[in-house]
Amino acid sequence: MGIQGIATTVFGGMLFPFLILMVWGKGVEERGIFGGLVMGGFIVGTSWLANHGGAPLIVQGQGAPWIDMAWAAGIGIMVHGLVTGGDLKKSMPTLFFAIIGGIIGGYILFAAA
Amino acid sequence: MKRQLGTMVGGAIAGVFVFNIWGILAGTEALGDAGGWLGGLLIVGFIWTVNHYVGAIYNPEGAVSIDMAVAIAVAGTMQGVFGGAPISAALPTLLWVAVGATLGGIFAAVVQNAIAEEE
Repeated sequence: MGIQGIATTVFGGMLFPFLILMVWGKGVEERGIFGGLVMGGFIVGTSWLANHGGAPLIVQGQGAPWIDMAWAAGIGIMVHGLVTGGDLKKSMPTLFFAIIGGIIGGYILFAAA
Repeated sequence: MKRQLGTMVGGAIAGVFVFNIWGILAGTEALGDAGGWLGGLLIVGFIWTVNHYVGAIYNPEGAVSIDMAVAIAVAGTMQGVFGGAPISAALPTLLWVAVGATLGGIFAAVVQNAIAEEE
């Protein structure tokens, strides 16, 4: 990956968790479940077009397994939790089972393809 | 443990939905790129209601939030790994995405603090 690919991949990874953290919660706060649905649509849909659309910011490796912008959301939200004083130890069981769920999902996707 | 059953099942469903359905929407010629945008609303918006609005994924008070995105990310990468794609080929992308994500998380915390201080 060249310097341009690195720049766009870092930028793509930055924008997605930033938008999620800034506005998704606000949608829920003000309009409950519908606010969350609508903000989810705007944030994820629009970020997807930027990161994985026609001119993708996140540059994938050749022949490599897919690195989805979801990696950015998962990591960015954890970093935000850490810098705002969250307890990481307390989230370890959830992190573990989320990864197990992801591996199960990955196998189902592989088997379905 | 029952709560972690929710984490595991909710996470697995989120991963399968995102990568099994998104391609259908994005690949529909009549919709074009708008199909890809719709994936955010129809898939992530919907599965978010299950995982984070209702709370199938267990996030205890005071803990660092684990988003369903963790499960989705792992599912998307593991699909390729199960299919024989070398994980090493994805590491540069993953590294730079992680750098960007770290910046995004910190930026959001800093800006939110600044906004809160003004109020």
